[in-house]
This record gives sequence, structure tokens and C-alpha cells, in this order.
Amino acid sequence: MLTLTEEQKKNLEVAMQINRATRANPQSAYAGKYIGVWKQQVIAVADTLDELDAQLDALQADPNECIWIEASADYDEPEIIWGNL
Amino acid sequence: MPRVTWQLQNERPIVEIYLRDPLTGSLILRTLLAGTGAGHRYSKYDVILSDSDCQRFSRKRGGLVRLGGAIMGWFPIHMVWIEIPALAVARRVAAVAVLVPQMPTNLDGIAAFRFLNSFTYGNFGDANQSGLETP
Repeated sequence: MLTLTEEQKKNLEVAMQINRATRANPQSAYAGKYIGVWKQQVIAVADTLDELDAQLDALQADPNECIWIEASADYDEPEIIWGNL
Repeated sequence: MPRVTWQLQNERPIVEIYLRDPLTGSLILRTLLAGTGAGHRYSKYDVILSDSDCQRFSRKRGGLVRLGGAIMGWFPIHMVWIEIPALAVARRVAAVAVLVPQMPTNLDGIAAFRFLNSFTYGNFGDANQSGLETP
């Protein structure tokens, strides 16, 4: 389940570098955006997941390789789920 | 204002969504707990689904999210296409993939607060139901 391909690992590393830089600089062009990373490059920048998906499909980005993230999100912060499931 | 409501399941509020299979295009029904306690307004995910559903319905792989509370650990995020036909809703959302034993009993996942908060949600005055409404 947690397994990433080698390419995805490389792209995730790049994505998280951009995430840290964007969180440090709210004026970044990626602030508040979804970004798609493939071949260790940002190839898509979008306001919504619908737009991001369309951009990645138009570029024929390999879904087994590309990674997307929210550039401004804090991925270190734990998201708490309250309640008894 | 289109509205869809569902009877409580095991006395708990639910949301029914359809997931679109990216390979076949077919729509598959899933019943989620309406979890206002799952995350916050700016969470990094909209829904929590089983690992097998995320594997099947994932369009693109996202990063990892750290969960706490009722479900703990680091989990992958996937982009999935969901639909709620009665509301003419069709959109990609961020889905966290968790193992089945961590899921709510007899349900297919959780509709998190970020997702619910994108609608008008509640029981609309009827204690036996839960529902969603769009503008």
C-alpha cells in the first residue's frame, strides 16, 4: 500500500522540496496551488484537482511515475480523526 | 437547490458516492460515514477509502498524509473521481488509502469535513436522515 515506484520516490522528493520552499515563501508562484511533478520537474500547476488531472493527462504524464501535492499544505502536521469508528 | 438525503445507517450519518473506474469508466457505489470529526477545513484530503479502492480507482498518486486519533499512521493520498448524480456533482477529490480493519464498521470509508464543508450538510430537520445540498 505504501509502496512507491523509484520514479515516484524521486518525484515526491522534489515535490516536498517545493512544498517546504513554498511554505517558507507565501509569495511563491506555487502558493495555494496543486502541483504535478514528473521526471523531477514541475509540469503542472492548477487551482483544482480537476484542472491538475487535465493538465497531467494532456502531457501524457505516466500515472505510475508522476506525483501531485498541495504546494502550501503542511504535510508534517497530523490530521486528527475524532470519534469511535 | 438540489438536495440528496439518506437514511441513517446503524444510527449514523452517511454519504453515498460513486467512484469512477479510470480503466472501464464504470461507476461503483460506496457508502461513507459522514465524518465531520475527520480532519478540518483545510485538510489535505476529502475522503478516506480502503486501500483496495484507492488502488482500483486512483487516477494519480499524491503524497503522504499523517493521520492521528481514530486512525493513526502515514497513509498515501490518491486522486479519485467521485460522482453524486442527484446533485450533478462530478469531481476529482483527494482520497486517503487505509487498510480495511481501520475502516468504520460496515461502511466503505469516511467523507471528511473538508468534503462535507463544500456542501450544505446536515439532517435538514429530519432526525432519521443525513444529506447534502448544493447552491
